[in-house]
Amino acid sequence: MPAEGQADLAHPEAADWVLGTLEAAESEVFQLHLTGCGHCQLAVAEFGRVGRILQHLPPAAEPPPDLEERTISDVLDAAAGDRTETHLPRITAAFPPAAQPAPPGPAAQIPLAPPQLASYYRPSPGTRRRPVPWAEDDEPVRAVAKVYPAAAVAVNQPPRRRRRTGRYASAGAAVAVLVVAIAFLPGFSGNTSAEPSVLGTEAPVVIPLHSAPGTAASGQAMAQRMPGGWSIQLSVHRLKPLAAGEFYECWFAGAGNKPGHLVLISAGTFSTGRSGSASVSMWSAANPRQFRTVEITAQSPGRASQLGRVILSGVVRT
Amino acid sequence: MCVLAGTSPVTNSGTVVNGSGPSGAILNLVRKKSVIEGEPIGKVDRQTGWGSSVSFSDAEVRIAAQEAQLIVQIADGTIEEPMKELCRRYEKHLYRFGVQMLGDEGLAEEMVRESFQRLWRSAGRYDARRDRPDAFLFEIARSVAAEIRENRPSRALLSAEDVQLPPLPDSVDQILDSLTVREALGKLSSPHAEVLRLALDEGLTQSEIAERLELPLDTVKTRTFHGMQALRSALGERGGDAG
Repeated sequence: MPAEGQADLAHPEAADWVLGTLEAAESEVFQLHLTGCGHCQLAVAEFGRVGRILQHLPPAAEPPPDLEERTISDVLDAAAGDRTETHLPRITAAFPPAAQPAPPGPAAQIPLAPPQLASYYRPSPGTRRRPVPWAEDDEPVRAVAKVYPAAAVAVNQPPRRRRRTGRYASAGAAVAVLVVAIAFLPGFSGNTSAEPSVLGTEAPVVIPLHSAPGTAASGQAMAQRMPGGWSIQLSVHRLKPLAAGEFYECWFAGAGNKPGHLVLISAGTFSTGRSGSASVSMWSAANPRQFRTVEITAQSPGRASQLGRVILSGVVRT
Repeated sequence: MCVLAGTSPVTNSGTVVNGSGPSGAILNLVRKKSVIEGEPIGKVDRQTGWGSSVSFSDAEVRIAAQEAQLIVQIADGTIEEPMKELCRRYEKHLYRFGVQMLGDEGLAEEMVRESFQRLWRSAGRYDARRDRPDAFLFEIARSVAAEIRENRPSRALLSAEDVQLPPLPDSVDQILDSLTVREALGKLSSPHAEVLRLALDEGLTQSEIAERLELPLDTVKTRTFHGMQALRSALGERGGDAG
């Protein structure tokens, strides 16, 4: 119980005693004094809380000057997406069939969800994202594998080997994915009752990307599930210019990914030019809810089978 | 979210605090009910926020009411200006909290951005009678920080992967207290800040500080005392019993 007294009248050593900055002998003397001095007892009691807080003080770090701008931009983009979601523009047949007219009725209408418009599909406030089982998501991959075996290699092989087979498999898989995606479209598959509901109806997965401390690079990846894989809209800012011939590559890393045990699926490569900024559309078979870490690496052609240094990274929230 | 806003200078020792600083706020607390319903602020219980033992100035009440109103505007669909204002007031404090909790400036940025996104998404659920604006925002930030800690990149960008992170504070009040003290520490005049820095960061005793600064020992002790008084006063203004 604090003694009666006035903290302002306490000895200055009261603060030093709380901070533990008195010399040992002086500390013992003050401790004896404390038992009989109400002013110092009150001061020690008052300073005690400050002293405890000082032990766990946050750093005096200053946020980057453009953080406010980027933060507001994020919010406004998301808000714009929500507003648009309730009255999505629709188009009839994204790939107009040349010989066969699109069947009439709702089944022929495909919600507009090309990658560049993926931001339209933002969840409304409070919307719960529908869980997507892995098996369900794996379906497009297996469909691709039937069409183009290399795609199966790219997905099913151990990661290291996958990288080495890499470029051919990726190119083949991309072609195969396109074939399958087109095959899913009513006008091309001949199945006019094909379910278009999957197109753009699920909230996209948004992954903010950050760089290592001391660097200004930033970015965001937005993944929208589509038949045949995931459409990725990637935007990056203030990436450093790379040496001639180098390029950036976007990866999805799965659980347990680490040097010597890579669990990675590529979403493609890109460059930025002098501005250091780019907004590119990519495609990946990786389900970002399974391969939850997005990494942007700097690569060089001669070492394409080796992972480059990580420039940006972000994690999909659960 | 007024607590960090406009911490008043402490003048009882003459020159302890430099100026009044920006109006941007560090947690000048106003306890909910009083803010919105215009009841006399009177006494407030630190634990529940509903009792009473601490008085708040009219300025603190006004700031809290403004910030509550900003959240209401966001919920009503007027987003940009209210969000900018809240961002201006709290970005730095959120960022510092993020750096402390995540040990990584990049992750701290991510936490700040995600926190404001969630503030927008949950603004409609904000209840000014139940939540302090600052506590509402920092509760969101705490939750985001916890998620980021659980989902750190599988391949860290820096060796900080192995850094031992401090435990997440049990309560938002702990976060606000530490940010208040950090803010007040930054506003101390340099002689007072210097002795505290040498004591806290370098672990020097008063004698060693006196030797380092070539000052009489009594001067060092007095400066330390006044510096601690200033920090204690800042905490008191935040609405806690500073004892």
